Amino acid sequence: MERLLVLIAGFVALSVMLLLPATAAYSGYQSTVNILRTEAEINARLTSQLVNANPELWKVETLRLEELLRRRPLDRTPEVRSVLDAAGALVSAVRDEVGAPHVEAASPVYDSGRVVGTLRVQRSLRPLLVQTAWFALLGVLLGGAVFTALKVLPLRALHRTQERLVHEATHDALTGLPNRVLFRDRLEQAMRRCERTGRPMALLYLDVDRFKDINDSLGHEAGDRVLRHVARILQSCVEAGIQRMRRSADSEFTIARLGGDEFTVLLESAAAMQDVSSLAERILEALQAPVAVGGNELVVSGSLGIALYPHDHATLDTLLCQADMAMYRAKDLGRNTYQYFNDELNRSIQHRIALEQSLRGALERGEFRLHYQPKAHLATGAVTGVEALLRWERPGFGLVGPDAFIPALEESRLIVPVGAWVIETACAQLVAWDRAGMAGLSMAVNLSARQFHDRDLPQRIADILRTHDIAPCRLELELTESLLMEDNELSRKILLELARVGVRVAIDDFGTGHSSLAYLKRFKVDTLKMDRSFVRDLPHDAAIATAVTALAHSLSLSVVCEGVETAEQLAFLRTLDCDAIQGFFLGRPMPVPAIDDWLRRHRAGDEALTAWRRLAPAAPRREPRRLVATQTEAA
Amino acid sequence: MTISIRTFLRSSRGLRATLAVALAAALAPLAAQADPVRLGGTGSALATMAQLAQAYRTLDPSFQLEVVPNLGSGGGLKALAAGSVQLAVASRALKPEEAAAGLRAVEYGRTPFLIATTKAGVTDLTRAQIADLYAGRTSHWGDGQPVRLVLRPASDGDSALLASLSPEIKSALATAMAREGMVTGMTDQDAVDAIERLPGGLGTASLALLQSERRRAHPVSIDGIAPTPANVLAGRYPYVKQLYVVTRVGAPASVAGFVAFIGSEAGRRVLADTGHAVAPAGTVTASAAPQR
Repeated sequence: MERLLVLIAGFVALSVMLLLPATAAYSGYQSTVNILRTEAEINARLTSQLVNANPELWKVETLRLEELLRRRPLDRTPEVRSVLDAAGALVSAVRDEVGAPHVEAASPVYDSGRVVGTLRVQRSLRPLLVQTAWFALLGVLLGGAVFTALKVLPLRALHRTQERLVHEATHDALTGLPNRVLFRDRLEQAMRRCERTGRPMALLYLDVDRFKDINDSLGHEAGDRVLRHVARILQSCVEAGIQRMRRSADSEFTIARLGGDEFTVLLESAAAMQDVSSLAERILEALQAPVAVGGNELVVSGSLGIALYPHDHATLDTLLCQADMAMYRAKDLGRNTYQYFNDELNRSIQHRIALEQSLRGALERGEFRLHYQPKAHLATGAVTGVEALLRWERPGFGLVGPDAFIPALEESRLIVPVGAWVIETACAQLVAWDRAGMAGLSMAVNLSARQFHDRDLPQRIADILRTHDIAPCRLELELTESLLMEDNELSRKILLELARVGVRVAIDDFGTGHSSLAYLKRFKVDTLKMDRSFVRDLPHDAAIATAVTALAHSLSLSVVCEGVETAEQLAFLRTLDCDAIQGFFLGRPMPVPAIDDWLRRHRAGDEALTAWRRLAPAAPRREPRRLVATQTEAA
Repeated sequence: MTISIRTFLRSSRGLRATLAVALAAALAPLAAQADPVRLGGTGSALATMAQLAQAYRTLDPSFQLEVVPNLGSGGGLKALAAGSVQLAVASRALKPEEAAAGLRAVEYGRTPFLIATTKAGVTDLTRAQIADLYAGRTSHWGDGQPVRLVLRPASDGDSALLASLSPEIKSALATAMAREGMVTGMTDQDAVDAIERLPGGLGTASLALLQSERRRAHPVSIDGIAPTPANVLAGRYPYVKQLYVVTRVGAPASVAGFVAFIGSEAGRRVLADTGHAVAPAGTVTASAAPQR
């Protein structure tokens, strides 16, 4: 295109350069020839009249002929005028000084219609050549101007358009930052430079924490605003960081948005690890400045992964992948932090990738199982219910415990459908036991954070309970303290909705998280499940267990002690007036046929299962606290 | 009057002797001086009219004629209609619009239309030879002298008359007119002047002009028939110019008297002496032009 423009401009300019003098020369020549023709014709007529007046002796009338030839109009352009006879011999002539080259015109002289001579008028072409030279000079100037105008102006417009198109193709429209295409190009060049010079570089990979939640709950406009905010923060932090680094090294940087909420920062000639670390810290800190979104102030955070080159030997794609892995590691570590890529991380990431791939489709393939662990009323020894515990029958690995795959389920969002399957299956099992004559049991189900924050959860639970015709109070949802604390207000609302459905709520692993006495009062909670770590050291270290039990009772909450494994622990818990126990001492988590058998045997008073009731004297009689199954069992 | 006569003399050398007599008469203090009658028109008739005037003055010494040269038939009629002259002579009949403008024409005579030359020994040409001369096929006389044709303007009556001689001559005339550098006589006098001036010159003229102006050029017989009034009257020579004297309605008595004189015996004698074919007395009739 550029070459074509130059060609067109050159052609037009050349045309101007040539046409101007050519036109001037042609028109000047034609004009001169026409003047000469007219003069020749007029003078030939006058000469013919002279011939007609004296046809036989006109050639000797030299004086008259010369006088006739000297007659000139006002134009005194130098000319040679001559009369020749029919044989071409000169008859008469008047001559001015006329330089070569010449142009001439001739017209016949008649004697009564017979040609008897020729009248010739001659002029010099020099004035025309000089005039043409001036026009040629003007043509060169004009041609140059035309060439400049035709080449420079459209080229400038073309370059602008090209620049705009290139910018659009290589930059993110929302933030104005380089996009993935440009970033990869810069990264590739930087890696080459790095190989040449040996100066290290760092790749920072930032992902905005819970960005999808922001988008989902506040809308895409809010999401866009957050992304612009993040871009600004990155720019200001990196520029400030680079200013500091330049004292010691010549650093270049590129900030890009790869897509979604993923940003990258490429630091060339990163002087030292501590510089990179301090930059990462500054970015994370600055990100937490509140951003106004739709009238609200939102605090966002990010997780940063850092890969170093050539420290972390990699190709372009693997370097990006390493930074990405490090970023995920930072997320795993609770978000709002940064992590460097290392080999151990690599291995764990590979493991998690494989785990996630296996988890996809596990539900459809029916690889999940539920095991049930019984709970019993401490005072009466009656089995009040079970806790449903998820297990995964992973092909090639056997039965996998929840700690090994629940985080992956959570991260991949598969937890929502799997969690729904758990509630559905547990409720179905409850109905099966009812029908098998083991009515009145309660069912506890663990909820993950993502499940808990799913807006449809209360309705989904209500639907399941209605489908199976189960009293809502027989279903207990177990939540962790940290989950409730993540979003205080939102948690309160969800708990209220769940209370409206009628299900019970238990705080799982109480005492290990952000135990806040305030939320116990504020939230609609029914049961505290004392963490197994407080039960493990009983009866020697009973301070916390004693305090927790007293606290729960003072708030009219029932207490379930987890991890009861010995008779001593059980005996001591009786003295604390705990409401219920759960643990290996009572029964391990069991799959369906085993738990059925266990329940039947327990109900039938199997000595092996019920002997513990006599291990210690019963604690002073107290009204059971909102432990529904207890009454049924007692009945 | 004096200036007009001088101009006329310069342009018509053949008339000099005739007009010298008229001038002498005009200057003679024999009679009371009247306003001169101004006359213009075809060159073939001007000298004849001067001679007629001179003859008429024997009857009316107060009559004076001022001849305006170089008008031609059309110019003379226009001048008459405009009142610039009181009398016109024409070699053609009146056009209807000219008659409607109050002009009245009387044919006073016919004169042979002829080929004239000064070339000695050239006394007779066939129409074929005339065609060859005009077409340029014959470009030199027998002695090697170039034939120098003198043409008339294409719109002039003489060109039409020449073309009427034969289709070959008509074609040859067109060829001649298309040639560059040809000599053209604008009036009858100019043409005869050129014929006489150019060595080997040849062109058209009327017998009235040659005889009334006593020109050096001589007429040439066509196909053996000499252009004489007798041959015209006998119908042997068919190429003639009809000559008309034209007046305006209500012309003064002096004009009417002069016109009447032209048709008189004395006038007819003058006409016969100046190359006109004059019919016997009483046969002069009004032209075919409309009277009203």
